[in-house]
Amino acid sequence: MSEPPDEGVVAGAREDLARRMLVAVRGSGEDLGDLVHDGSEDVLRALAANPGLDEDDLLQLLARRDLPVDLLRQVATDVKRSGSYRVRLALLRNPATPASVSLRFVSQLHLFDLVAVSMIPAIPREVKTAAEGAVLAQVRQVPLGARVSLARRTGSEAILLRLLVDHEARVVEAALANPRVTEATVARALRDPMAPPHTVDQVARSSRWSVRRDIRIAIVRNRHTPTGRALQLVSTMTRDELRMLSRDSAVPAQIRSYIVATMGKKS
Amino acid sequence: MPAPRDVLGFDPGDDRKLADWATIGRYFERLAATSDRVRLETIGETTLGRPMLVATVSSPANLARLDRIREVQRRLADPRTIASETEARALEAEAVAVVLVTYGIHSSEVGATLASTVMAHRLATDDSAATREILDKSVVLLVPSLNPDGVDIVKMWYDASIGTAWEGEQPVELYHHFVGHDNNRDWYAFTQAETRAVVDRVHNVWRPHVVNDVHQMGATGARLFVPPYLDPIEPNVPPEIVAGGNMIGQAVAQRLTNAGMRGVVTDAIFDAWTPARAYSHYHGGIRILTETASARIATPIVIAPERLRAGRGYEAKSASGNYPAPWPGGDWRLRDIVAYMTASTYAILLTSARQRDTLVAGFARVGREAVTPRAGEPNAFLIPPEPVLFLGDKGAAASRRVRDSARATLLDALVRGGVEVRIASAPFVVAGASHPAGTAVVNFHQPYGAFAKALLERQTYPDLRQFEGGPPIPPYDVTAHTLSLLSGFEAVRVDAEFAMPPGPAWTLSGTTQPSQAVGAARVGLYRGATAPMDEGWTRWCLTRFGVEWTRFDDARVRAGDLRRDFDTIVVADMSAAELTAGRLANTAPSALTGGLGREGADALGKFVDDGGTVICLNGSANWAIDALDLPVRNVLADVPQTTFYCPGAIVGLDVVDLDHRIAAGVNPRTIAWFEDGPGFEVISDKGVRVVARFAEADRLRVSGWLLGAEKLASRPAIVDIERGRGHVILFAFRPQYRGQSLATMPLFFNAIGDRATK
Repeated sequence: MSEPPDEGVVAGAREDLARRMLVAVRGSGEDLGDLVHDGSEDVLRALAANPGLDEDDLLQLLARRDLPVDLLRQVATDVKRSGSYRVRLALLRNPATPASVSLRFVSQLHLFDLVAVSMIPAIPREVKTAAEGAVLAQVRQVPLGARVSLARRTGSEAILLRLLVDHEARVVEAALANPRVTEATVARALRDPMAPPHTVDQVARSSRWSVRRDIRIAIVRNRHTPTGRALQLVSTMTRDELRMLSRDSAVPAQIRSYIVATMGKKS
Repeated sequence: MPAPRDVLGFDPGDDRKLADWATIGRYFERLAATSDRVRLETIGETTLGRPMLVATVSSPANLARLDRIREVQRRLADPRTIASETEARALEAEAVAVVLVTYGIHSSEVGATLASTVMAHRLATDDSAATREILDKSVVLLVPSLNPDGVDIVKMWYDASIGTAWEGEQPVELYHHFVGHDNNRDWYAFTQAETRAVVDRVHNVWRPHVVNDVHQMGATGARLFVPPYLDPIEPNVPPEIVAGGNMIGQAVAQRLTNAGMRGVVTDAIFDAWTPARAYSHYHGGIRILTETASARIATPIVIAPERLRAGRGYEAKSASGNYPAPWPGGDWRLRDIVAYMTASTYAILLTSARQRDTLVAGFARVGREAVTPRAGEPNAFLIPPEPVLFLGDKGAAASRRVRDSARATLLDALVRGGVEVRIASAPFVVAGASHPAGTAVVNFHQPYGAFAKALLERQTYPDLRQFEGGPPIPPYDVTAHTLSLLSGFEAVRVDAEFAMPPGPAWTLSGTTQPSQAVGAARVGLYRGATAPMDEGWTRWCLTRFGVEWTRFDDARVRAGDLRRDFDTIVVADMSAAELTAGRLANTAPSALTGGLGREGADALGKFVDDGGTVICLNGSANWAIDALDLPVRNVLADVPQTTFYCPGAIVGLDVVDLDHRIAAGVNPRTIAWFEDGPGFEVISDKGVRVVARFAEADRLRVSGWLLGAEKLASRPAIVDIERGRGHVILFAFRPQYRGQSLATMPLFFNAIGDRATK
């Protein structure tokens, strides 16, 4: 059983809290900056409401992951504060910001900030989805270099899927090299009827991807696959794989006939 | 210093051995990394995203001053930048010979890309006096392949064929993703990524004096062709270029003949009529086409003496002035091909180095002549701001896209070709005629004015006959290249002097990017078992102008129920025999041989009866007439060439059914690309609408060569025939010709229609 707190200590703490509150409410300049890391939610609320808190200190405050929701909501509804792009971004980056607040700002973010937001693990799912949606809405308009960077950086499957069927081969190349892209995503891209021929070709040439079963099957199914490549892949496939492809209407009809003939030879 | 074998794993020329593009690239990278004579650069990406490479090979001293060498070239090409005769002489003295060697544009001509590694290695390692002379006096630019995608497409196909009954047969698909062999018909329209990369990053940067374009030809005649070319020479090619080509070609022929290499022919087979194959001819550079006899890809062949065949301009079995040492027949293998290619390119390089003074003087003179006005020459060409061959904003979505991009596409082609184009910022008057603001003004007296002239004027091809009144002598390719007309514009030639109106220069707009797909009808594109190029061009046009398509093959046709998948089926230009018989047995796995046959024709007929639309372009119309039992006949089917002949020309076209949706937005008096097409006669009017007719005889030939105009004049050119609940639309011409004929593409896209109109 622990000892009850000393009354003097308690009084001192109360006094200290009152002092910090006073500073948070009425203080200015460096005094406020010192409170950004305060342990009291009340102090933090008062601090956030203080118009004397400069933006850099506010951003430091918003970077904290333990802020109360009402504080975040309070900052978001403060027109002067949330008029700043940096503040809106900081709010969106904070996983504790309610989705209803974040969603108001999503459409206002720059492309790569949207990408960064979409990659924060603890962000609410609907915010992440909205950020990805905003990226997808912009992606056709952004310059080639930005799309290449996006393809290298994004971790969003939806965005990667779009970039894997980009009309510029360099974008596809970058997306295929993205460490977060998965076999399932690449196979889905190959199944996209709008996948351009260079996507199929690059996947087929890639030592990382071309050896994987689902992708080899997706390559044979794709209408852009050169016949020579399809013949080579078919010659290396198992009987079960061939049987499946022979019944797949997405496989060009002549290749299906070839597969049937190959199965006959293998039996 | 790595030899090709060290990276490729075999000697270039070994039987049945091909390298993929990544390996070729690795060889050049290793060579550049170890040689002080070689630099390697990536100049762009192919259609399928492979890197395009150029290796710059010269002496270390020259490599240290490449910027200066390029600057000298730039100034000699444009004498307006040279202040005095003294400075001109100094620049000429300073210049080195710049020789570009381009390999493998036609990827099934597999010797070329392999030969590039041999040539690079020789130049990097050989210390003979001759090679030293080449390196000291020249900058050699080696492009190992103008079509890297095709290197892999052909290798994959060929490797799969080894040991089969179809070993060495041509691939069942185009070796350029879109345009196959026609990638070497793109050197003025620049529709393809590879053409643009090489023009932008090599030709226009280096302005080579000589371009050796390395090819292969048929197997049963001469072993090697080098210029002189046959007549006709396109009239805008400067005489210095023609004479220079003759000189180098003859030197090559002599050197190889002296070395005991038999079968070298000059002044035969190939003419020099078109800029579509010869960018350099209009840019101060001599194009030396070398064509070596082929094997069966990388599989050796034996040509018995009795199988040797005459070619155009020579007799393969007997000696003549232009074929002094006939090849007697026998074994012919990839090693021979690589050897002839390497020897001929080396001879070109050595001749160019030794004739540096002559080449540079000729190059400088071409530049001077270009900017010097002469009597009888045009002063300028004017291109109106709006295309005259389109009317209003009507038609299918893709048709409107064509119309909206036509001007930029034409002006981009000129500017990419180095032509200076200004856009008048205010109306102006020339010789009493007023021209609105926005008119594009092309001053003829500029370095590449001849290139512009070739594309903006109408061609008159000489009436060449085998004997007086006899059959025509066929051109090597087509006979017209008036890109302005094909783009929908009538360029105005102005001979009078006038003050060039002020206005900004046109800069590249980048309209060649693929368009976003729009909601067209469900379009099926018949693939064709013989890999027809027109199918590829059609696919490119559909993609370029945003029409979604699905390609399908014979097996899919025979499976029936096409209506389930498609509203419209397009059958590109193919002969009736190609469509019916398709690919012959033992030329591919049996599943990939054969054609539509009766079963396929019936399936397509049922598709139409069920409410679908089949669109047949040019030759495929002949197939449809019989296979689908249409009330139309081809009156040109049995007409001898002495009576009617048109191997590729621009003709007049009158759109006569202006209420038909196909006609929407097209000028009733327009043009069309006619090339061995049918001439229709409607046998029964019932259910047949004639949408367009060829112009009357006196207006029929617009540009190029056409004999017997009255046979085609006023004949139906587009007919829409009802059958069952559907339609068959026949085009007697190629409305999407090589991606260039924007003027008629709307007719094609309107025929396809939008989803909402179906």
